[in-house]
Amino acid sequence: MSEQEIIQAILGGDHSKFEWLVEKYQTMVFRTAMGFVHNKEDAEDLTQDVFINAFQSISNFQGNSEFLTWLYRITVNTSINQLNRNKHRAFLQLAGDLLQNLFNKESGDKNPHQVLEQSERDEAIRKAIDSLSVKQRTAFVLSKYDDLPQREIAAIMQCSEGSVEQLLQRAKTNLQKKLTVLVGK
Amino acid sequence: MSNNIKATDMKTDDYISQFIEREKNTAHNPYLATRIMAKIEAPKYKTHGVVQYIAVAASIALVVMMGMVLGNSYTSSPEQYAGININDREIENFALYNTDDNE
Repeated sequence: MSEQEIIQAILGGDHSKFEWLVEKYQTMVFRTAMGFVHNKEDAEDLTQDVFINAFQSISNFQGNSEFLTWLYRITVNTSINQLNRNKHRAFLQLAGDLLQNLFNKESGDKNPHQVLEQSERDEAIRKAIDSLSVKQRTAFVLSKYDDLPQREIAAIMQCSEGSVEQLLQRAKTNLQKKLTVLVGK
Repeated sequence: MSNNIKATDMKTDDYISQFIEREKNTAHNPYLATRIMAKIEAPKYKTHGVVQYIAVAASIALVVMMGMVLGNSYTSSPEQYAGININDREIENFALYNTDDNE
């Protein structure tokens, strides 16, 4: 059964077919969500919201673009909305994650000092990614977390490939500017 | 100088790549799909919930109405009243004991 046939079946009222789509795309949606929220539990909640949104608006899917592109758009929009809602608790979340990293992370052969150093570095990187503008961040996440080509990112963001290239370049420069201090440590 | 900047940038890129790789390798809950499907199917159960609320509210309203109807339909019968006659003369006069003569 092709994807288009499955979508037609869902639109026809066979909701159980939606599970096939969830199984197929959950990892991809989860990975993108991780790029936006950097936290497993939040990313799982976000994945759930994305699929619920997709299910509720699947009747609006015209088939003009690939289903995957459409799903990526929903993922990006849901993630951005979630970020705007969660701005106020970002500080608490970061503090919690730092503590969790310190106490729960499998340290392997690293000593406590190295573990602490890595936690601080991770936090700085997370903050730097989070400080990017929405467009730069979206392009960065789709490129680095999902390894999507610029053409596909442009289709998702509904802009030109040139704009995506520019966004990625700016994102890289901004991250390097913000993280140069880290390397000196 | 420019070599130093390049080395710093490369190191920063390495740190970012390592961080992203770690986040990419985070595995989601194996029951995530089940959880999502349960959530999607949930509205069906929600309608049952609404029906239940309506049924409970209707039952309460029915009981109240029945109470009012039954209350209004009640008519008293005169035979129910039984008169009690008390003969005052049989009651002992306590005032007798309060007089000084009997102390």
